[in-house]
Amino acid sequence: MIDESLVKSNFIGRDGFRWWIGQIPPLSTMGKQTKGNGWGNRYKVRIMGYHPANTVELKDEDLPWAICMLPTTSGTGGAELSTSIKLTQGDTVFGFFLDGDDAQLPVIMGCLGHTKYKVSGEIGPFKPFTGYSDYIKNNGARIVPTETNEKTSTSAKSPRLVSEKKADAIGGGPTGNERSFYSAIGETTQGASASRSKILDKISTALENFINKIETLNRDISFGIDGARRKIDIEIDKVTKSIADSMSGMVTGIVNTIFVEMAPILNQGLKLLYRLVYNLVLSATGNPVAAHLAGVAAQNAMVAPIKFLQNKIPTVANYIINSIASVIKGMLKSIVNNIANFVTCVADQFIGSLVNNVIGKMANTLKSAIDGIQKITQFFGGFSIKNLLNQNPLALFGGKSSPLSCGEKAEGVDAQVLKWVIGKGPKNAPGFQPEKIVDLANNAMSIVGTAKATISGVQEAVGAFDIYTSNIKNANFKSTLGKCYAGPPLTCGAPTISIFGGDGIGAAAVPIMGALVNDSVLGQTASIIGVKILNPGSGYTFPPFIEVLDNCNKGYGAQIRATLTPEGSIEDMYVVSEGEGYPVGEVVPYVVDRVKVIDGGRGYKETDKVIDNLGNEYRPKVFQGTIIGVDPINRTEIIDLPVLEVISDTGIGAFLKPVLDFPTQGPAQTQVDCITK
Amino acid sequence: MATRPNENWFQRFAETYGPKFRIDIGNPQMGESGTEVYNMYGVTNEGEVSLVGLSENGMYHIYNDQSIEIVAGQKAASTGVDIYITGKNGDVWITAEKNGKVRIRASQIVLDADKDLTLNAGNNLTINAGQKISIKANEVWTDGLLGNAVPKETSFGQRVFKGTFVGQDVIDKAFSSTEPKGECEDSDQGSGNSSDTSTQQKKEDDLFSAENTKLTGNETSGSFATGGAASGGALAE
Repeated sequence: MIDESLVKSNFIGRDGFRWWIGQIPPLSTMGKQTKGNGWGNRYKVRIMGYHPANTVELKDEDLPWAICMLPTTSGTGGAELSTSIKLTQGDTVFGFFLDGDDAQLPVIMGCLGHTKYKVSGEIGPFKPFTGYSDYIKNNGARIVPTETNEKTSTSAKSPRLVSEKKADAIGGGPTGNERSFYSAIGETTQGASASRSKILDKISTALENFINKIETLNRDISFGIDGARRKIDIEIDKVTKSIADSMSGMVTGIVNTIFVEMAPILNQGLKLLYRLVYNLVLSATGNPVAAHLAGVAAQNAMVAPIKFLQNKIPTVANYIINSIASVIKGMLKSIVNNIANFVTCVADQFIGSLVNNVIGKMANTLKSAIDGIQKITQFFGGFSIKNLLNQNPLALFGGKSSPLSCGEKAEGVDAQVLKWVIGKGPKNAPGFQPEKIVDLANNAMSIVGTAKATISGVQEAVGAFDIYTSNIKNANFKSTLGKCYAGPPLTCGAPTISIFGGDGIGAAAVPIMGALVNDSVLGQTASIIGVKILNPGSGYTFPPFIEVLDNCNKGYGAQIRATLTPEGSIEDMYVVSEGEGYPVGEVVPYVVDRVKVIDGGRGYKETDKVIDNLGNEYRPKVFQGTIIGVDPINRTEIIDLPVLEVISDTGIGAFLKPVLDFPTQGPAQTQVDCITK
Repeated sequence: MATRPNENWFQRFAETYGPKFRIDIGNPQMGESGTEVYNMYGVTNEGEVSLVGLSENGMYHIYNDQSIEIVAGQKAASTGVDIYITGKNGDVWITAEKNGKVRIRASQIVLDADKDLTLNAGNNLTINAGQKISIKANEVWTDGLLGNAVPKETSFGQRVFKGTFVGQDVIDKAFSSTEPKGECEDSDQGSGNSSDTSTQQKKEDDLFSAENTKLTGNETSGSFATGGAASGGALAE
């Protein structure tokens, strides 16, 4: 042995090659090497078969340094060509010794990836333990710690491009295994509009975003997550400012409209006042000249009070605008625990509250001025600020629009899309009916015994709206204002298709559901694998926007596009992304009715084949190398989205999408119980 | 978790650089815009994130929790284009939400609309020019209740007293188009807190009540003041 050792050089490759496998100990044992002032790509290693499996016999600090071998694609650092090493503590590494049997100069050549069967536990020699340390930390708020490197859905788990609320739902709560990429995903933004009629939409949008945010924060509170209550206060402050700013146009519009409506009434009142005084003096004196002068004097006496009233115009608007924020804040605080789900009637009631408060403020602010002209309003029994608004609910939209010239179109320059959901795209905005809001506001103020309904911190009444009571979360509750249920959705129907924009009207379609998934929490869900056009509509000048609506807001990711006929009707709708998680009751089989050629490509032959991943075959029609049509050969029933592929030795670039249809009749519109499933 | 049964994880390639940055390519997990073509995702120590990526519906996302800086042209020709943003088919939206303002500053600003240009303001629209303001169109309209740009016949006072026996000189004097003095003070105060406004409001109301009482007293005594240039004769209708 001694002779053998004497003749050996113990230099790699000269007289033997020794592989080894080992583990990187905790980084805290590596001194300067982990503090930025070590040298080389070195890690200590505990090598199996060479080093004991405990730190008593051999401390981690006393382990040998191993140098890392780099692949040729990493660069050495020469000419600034480099790639950082990604090893960390706990990693299982293997390599060889530069000094053969001396085993003092280990080289790390590679590593074994962590798998989902790795057990994270106590840090110790040859035990699998975490790679996180004081040097690399992860509290899990943004990236779920998986510490695995394999081709699975749970390895190196990335956040998802969904809202935080939806990520929580998919992952089973804020402490689950799903994260949102970005906290603003799912928020609706309101674009600039040439039409002032979008004021109410702006308020509604801000309210919808707020309620969605609060839902998530309330859930965080239920999970005991620190700071959630404070975040609710911050959200209230933010949305208060946003709604208050949007209110400016509405307040100035109401003030303007009321004064415009008031002017002819007061004018008429002045004339009636003259007549009254004239008749009184004439009957008392018999002198028409004296009667006339008295009438004129009575009208003249109204100049000062009318001037006083006129000077209130900017005062009252500014007063309301400057004080509306505290009202909005009070209202938001009052509803924050009552609304579990945003529905349009919540926005109606919220805006109705604001209308009542604005009217109340106007009435209070103008009281002395209105009292001062009582001599001319006495002729109009029902004269009040509220009644003036009732006569012109369009004031809620900021007053009347500018007059149109002859032949000018009223639509002006308004965009096809006025709302945008971050991370998703265009959203339809059907708009508000001002008459309905005004009626609602009046009804809420006229409820017996609650006409002075006020909320904390708000001086003027807002009305007895349901949103200020927890009853609104009760599915059976119905007030005199009607039914407005803002609790969790009770039934989840199949998603619906909203078609808007494109300059046309009348198109209608229903989704075709497939790719069923049975989930113990969510029940049976599905993807949208096709669209059945019920009405192709007309008048479209460009493909309309298509929004998938899910009343329970459980599904996500379905993206559909439309193509038009030359005449302006919808020709086809095809699925760009099938989405997932949509509620569905029963899925009936479908067939590929036809194939939409998105791109015909080039270089194809008539003998080329088209197949899909579900076993269907298709016959392509080729003209001058381009696929101009594809006919299904066999119409096999399917419940999944087929992906078409052209088998060709010569062609490139064709992109085909299947258009599905029901083999016999329409889809079943089953409702699913969302509470129990 | 009710994800689709046909997710293709084999085409997913992730380059992760610890919990602070990753490049994720071909991730089949479903998002609001479909599955992901690629994402580059960064996280600060404070948990603030930055994302650029492309989804299968073709939407390219740029998200950032804090500011985004886009600066160009430091060494470009001064007559060139430093930043170019174009929407090829649809609208270009710029929206500042919550407390934000949209600010545009340059030595010259050109808003060039092929068709219509609309300026909406919920509260005030202010146009200041050092030298000249030119408005030119085939039709020019103004409307309002107060102010010196409001046509005389459409101001509130003029509307109320139209066709009455109150002399035009009295109406003109009372409802002159000059900026009302005194009354604006309380609207200025209104920009502070609401209690200041209320105090001012009460003072003004008290003042008016006294004035109104005086008017009423005159009337009851039967010595009505006559209108300045009131035209007598025909009775008001």
